[in-house]
Amino acid sequence: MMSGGLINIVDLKTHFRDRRTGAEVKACDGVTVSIGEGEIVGLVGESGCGKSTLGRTIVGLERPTSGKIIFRGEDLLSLRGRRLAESRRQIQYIFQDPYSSLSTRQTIGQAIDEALVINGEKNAKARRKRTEELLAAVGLPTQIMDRYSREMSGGQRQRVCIARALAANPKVLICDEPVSSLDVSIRAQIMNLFLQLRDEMGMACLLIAHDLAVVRQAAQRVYVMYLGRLMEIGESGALYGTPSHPYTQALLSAIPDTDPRQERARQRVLLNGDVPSPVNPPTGCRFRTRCPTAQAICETSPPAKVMGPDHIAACHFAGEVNLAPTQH
Amino acid sequence: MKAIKDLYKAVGLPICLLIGFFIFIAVFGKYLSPYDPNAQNLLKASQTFGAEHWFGTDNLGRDTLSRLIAGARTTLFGVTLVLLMAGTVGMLIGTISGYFGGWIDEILMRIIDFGLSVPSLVVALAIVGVFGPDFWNMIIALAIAWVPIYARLTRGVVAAAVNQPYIESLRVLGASRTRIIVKHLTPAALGSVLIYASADAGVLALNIANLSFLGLGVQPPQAEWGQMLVAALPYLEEAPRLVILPGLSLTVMVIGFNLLGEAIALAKNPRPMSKRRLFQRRREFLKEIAA
Amino acid sequence: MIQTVGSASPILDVRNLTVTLHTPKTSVRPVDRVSYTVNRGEVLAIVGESGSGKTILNLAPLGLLPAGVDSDLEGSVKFEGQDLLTSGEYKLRAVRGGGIGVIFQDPLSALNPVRKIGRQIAEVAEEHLKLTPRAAEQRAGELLSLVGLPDPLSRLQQYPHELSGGQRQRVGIAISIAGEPRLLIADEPTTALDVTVQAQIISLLKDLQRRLKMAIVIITHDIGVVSGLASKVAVMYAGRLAEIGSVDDVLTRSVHPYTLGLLNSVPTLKAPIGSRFSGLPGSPPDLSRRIDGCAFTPRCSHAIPGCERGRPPLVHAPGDGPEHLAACPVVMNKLALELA
Repeated sequence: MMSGGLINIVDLKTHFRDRRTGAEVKACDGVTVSIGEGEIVGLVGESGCGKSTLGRTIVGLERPTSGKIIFRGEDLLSLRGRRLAESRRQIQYIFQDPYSSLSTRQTIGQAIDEALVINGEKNAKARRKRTEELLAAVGLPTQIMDRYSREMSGGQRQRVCIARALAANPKVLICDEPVSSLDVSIRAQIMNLFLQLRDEMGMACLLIAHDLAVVRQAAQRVYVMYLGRLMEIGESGALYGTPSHPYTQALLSAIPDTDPRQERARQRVLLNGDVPSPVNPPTGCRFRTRCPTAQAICETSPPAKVMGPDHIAACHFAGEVNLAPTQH
Repeated sequence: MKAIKDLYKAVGLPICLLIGFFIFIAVFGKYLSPYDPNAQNLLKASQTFGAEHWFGTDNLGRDTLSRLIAGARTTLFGVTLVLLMAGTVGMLIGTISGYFGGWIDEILMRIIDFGLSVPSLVVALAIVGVFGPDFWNMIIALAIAWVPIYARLTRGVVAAAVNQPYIESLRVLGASRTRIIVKHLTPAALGSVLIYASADAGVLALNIANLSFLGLGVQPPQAEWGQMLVAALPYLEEAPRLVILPGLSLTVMVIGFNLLGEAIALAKNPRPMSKRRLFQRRREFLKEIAA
Repeated sequence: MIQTVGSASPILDVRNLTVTLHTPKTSVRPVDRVSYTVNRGEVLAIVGESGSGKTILNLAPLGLLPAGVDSDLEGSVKFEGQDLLTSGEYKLRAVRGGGIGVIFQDPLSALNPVRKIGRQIAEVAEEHLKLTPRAAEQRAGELLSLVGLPDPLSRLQQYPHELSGGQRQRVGIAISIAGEPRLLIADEPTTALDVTVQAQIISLLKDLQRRLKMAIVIITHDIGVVSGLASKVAVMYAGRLAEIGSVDDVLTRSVHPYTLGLLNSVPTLKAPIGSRFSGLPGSPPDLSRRIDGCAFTPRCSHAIPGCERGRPPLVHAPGDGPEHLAACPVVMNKLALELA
């Protein structure tokens, strides 16, 4: 799709060797994703679909098996030394659990200060000033500098993690379930912070989440991933308006409605069981073992069907099935 | 400074006084002891408690009090040396093992597990057996025997921390390996190592005495409690104080270290409040919340 | 007063429950004069943010508090007529797992990692149903198939770490219903799970409730998950009830601004793409301090100068049934004016 993006991930594969069994785990198995400058892109799927592995591979926490990660025209996997470090710095990661993302032995000020030191700022006064700016950018008061993370709420901790990531002057934030450990009532504060960072600083984001509703509002484009592969790609409007892959339809159907009358009237598609093991993924369409509409042909690889401009679904019956008619 | 204050609060005055007393004696013993601990005076041999020699003298006329003081110095010096050596080497091995993982971890931990499966005293005996009885051989032998425990302990803490998001975010920020190890992983392990060491010091003091008692550690005439016990054994009947005094000193020191270790461990897992404190707390809180 | 345990009387009757917790560091009052009832076969959802006291409200009366915490409980909590607050530890133990089953948020920490799943379920059945070990083991197999685990008989021999998060929660549910409880307390049973698995667990709970005719109290911070399951909803804020009523009353004719705030913060598929998220500003108050007036005032968009004086009582919502109560005089007065 967008070849002129800020980051283009091309056919990326990350396989692990299982410590105990020695089997090859194909966590991420040929995924192509692109993120444009100042764009928020969503990556959704259930636990075990490989979405976190993809994010971790992009920032270098996992080693890819093959593929390309092209950042500003250069393939990160062919870079070494200083130039690699310089590029890597511009891609930062936000973890799901903000509590374990902060050292218990550092104050908030020390944690951000250390990030600035790593980033090469030698002047202590300049660092202090920058720390104050970063805290202000994420909506935290300066006094919080002398506090420890255990004295703060989950939402505040996640803000600190974002401020620390910003210390590296990144162009992209890879956010792995950034709000799923927070109270629903607090999530909006953090989600709006990402929108604000995009609008004010042109920050691009890869928003990794299992909750399609959270991603929908923020992301311009959404990738749906299942068992190491992409199932459907689309502009938010198209993907949520006319979801074409049965997996996307099932994910959407799982989102509860807060109105009890509509909830009672609605027909739900419940997927059975969990994501199968990525050691031995099903042949052909990987979703076929849980798909309510699977047929014999699904044992062959599904074609990438173009459903519209910027909207692709990898299903033999894309656009022909509708598991959960949406109410709107 | 805050760490010391916290430690004092956790441990309490009696244990601090007890441990402080031994450290004070070990450090300033030279100036405190009334006589040279090794000076023989056969004219005044085998005296009992008295004004001139408070705790009496031994069969060679050496002042028992001075020898007890010198013994405290020998023991604490030995314990400190062994803990420093074993702690440093153990932490180094444990950190490397925990940080790098993979085959490095496999190999190092196999060796460490072998070391752990053999009783420490047996390891120390074997080494002293090979290199001969001597104070420094004993220290090195004990240090080698004690390394596996600290390596295991450190490896556990480091391996658990290394995959924590706070270490991973440092990696994503571009922090160097040295920074991560020195500024984050080692301090994380140091806490556990120090807690363990404080309780372990007593066991080590006992082992130093053991080896010296067997004639494999501190050699005469250097004063050491275990060694004093052996020297005094033939005179057990006529002068039991020569056996009891070093034995008692050793016992009190070992109990002191055990209490210290226990107090620190307890401070990490706080116990419930006392009935009186709870009652007081209730009243304070009701005043705060009602009004 | 003699209380008969008939079908008319509620299975759980909580009256003016106040819980004060003391730890060596601090004292808090997470539950402050809360009253509610749960009828037989009814599903009550208790909704509120972290630190609103909703978990303590349910677990403290059962004696399920972390070690090292001293608790003072006032009021009464009657389960089938028996006051749990005056029952000793021995009687409480018979109630826990017997009359009342509990599902915990994190299924992994609620299971023993080194014991087989079958044993862990059978143990509860042995204890509370006085079954023989063999009969209990058989019962465990039945329970696992009841909670929808495929291939239940071979699962009996597995350990918790061999299961996925969703499967573990199913095992947790099997354990909680092994003593054939009349009331099930589920503390954030879906929070740690994916949306798809969350939907499975909610539908499982609904199914079990219907088949076993249990009452359920589900505790959650996500008001989004209660609409399909609960018959009654209680919204809790800063240790008190902000609103309580039937699920339709509370979710579709919400009175309290806090309830509305919680409802608005659930992302829906209706908000325009690219628009800002709506949620609640700020965070809940410190429960170790005294709270003057309505605790929600600092975060409330309806707040008026009078709000910080005197804590508002829980009264009938104008225009609704007698079951619908809320604690916001500002909105209630407006509603009453509109009705008049």
